[in-house]
Amino acid sequence: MKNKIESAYESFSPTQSEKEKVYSAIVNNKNKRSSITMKNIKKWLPIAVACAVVLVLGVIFVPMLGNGGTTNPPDITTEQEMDIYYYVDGELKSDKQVIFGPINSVLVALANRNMLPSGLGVLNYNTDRTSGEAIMTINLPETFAEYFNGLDAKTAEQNYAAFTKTVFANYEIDKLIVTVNGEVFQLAK
Amino acid sequence: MANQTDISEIYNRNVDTVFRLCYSYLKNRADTEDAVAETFLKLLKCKKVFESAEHEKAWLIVTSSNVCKNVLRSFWKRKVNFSDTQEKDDYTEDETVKAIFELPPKYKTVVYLYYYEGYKADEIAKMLKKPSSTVRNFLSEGRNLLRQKLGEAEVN
Repeated sequence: MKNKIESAYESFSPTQSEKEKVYSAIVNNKNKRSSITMKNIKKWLPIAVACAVVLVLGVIFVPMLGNGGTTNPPDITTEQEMDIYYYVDGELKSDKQVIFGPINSVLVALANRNMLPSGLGVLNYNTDRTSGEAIMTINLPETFAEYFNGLDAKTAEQNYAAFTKTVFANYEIDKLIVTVNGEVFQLAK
Repeated sequence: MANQTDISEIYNRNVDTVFRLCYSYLKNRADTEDAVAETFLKLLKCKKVFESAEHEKAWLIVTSSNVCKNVLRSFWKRKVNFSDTQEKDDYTEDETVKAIFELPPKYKTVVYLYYYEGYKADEIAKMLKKPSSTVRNFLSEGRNLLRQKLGEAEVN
């Protein structure tokens, strides 16, 4: 039996070419540092795969977390107290109002304070964060422009200010672009 | 640090022992070659001065065992079967070789040193810096496992 074990171990002995190959690898210090061996691939492959997965998940989910990309600002799906600005006799005032629903609910709150026409709803809106700034674009229907064009200059300016202040107060944005049917809206001078 | 002339002599003196031991752990020639090279590279970088050839051999045996255990411990080695990419072993049909391969890693060095290199249990204990009782225990358990695998009544 002992002979069998000895003979088994003897069969493990390296051939001359294996000895030379390993010696050459040692002397050139290639084995560990520079050669792309299967062992190296096996060692680094899981790390590379993990990095790739993290990268892909990051590309997919980071914009959704609101740190980049173009996303819709979240609709208010729970009751939330919001600041609603409005003017009374030329004086800026604000109320806190519990809002429940999408951004249109904010417009309704402003309409109830005569700052916007009633029945106004946004066509679409988004927040672009790709530049590092959060730039919100609200696209509104023609009714919006018609309403402001029908007001005198001072009232239009106050109502528009109430609208923008309310948006700025309740959404974390750096810049607001108001468009009407896709065209940038500007108050008439 | 050993220079290139030294390493050549040390390599020639010990490569067979280190290779056989690594092969008993890793079971394929490609990984064994890597492990042997890694062991001698560690020697190249090591500043240890050996008192004798036996001391040098003991260091290489312990180091190569540790290198192999690290390879076996690695996640990838445990989870992924690269059998398609590995060289086919010529000896896997041999029952004795299979029995040696299937020994738990902790018994392999002791069994190799005892049965092939011919060291006594006390010498192995000194070499591996383990208590003699532990080495005897490993030998006994290793022997029992070999006996079970090989169906032999006695493995002395």
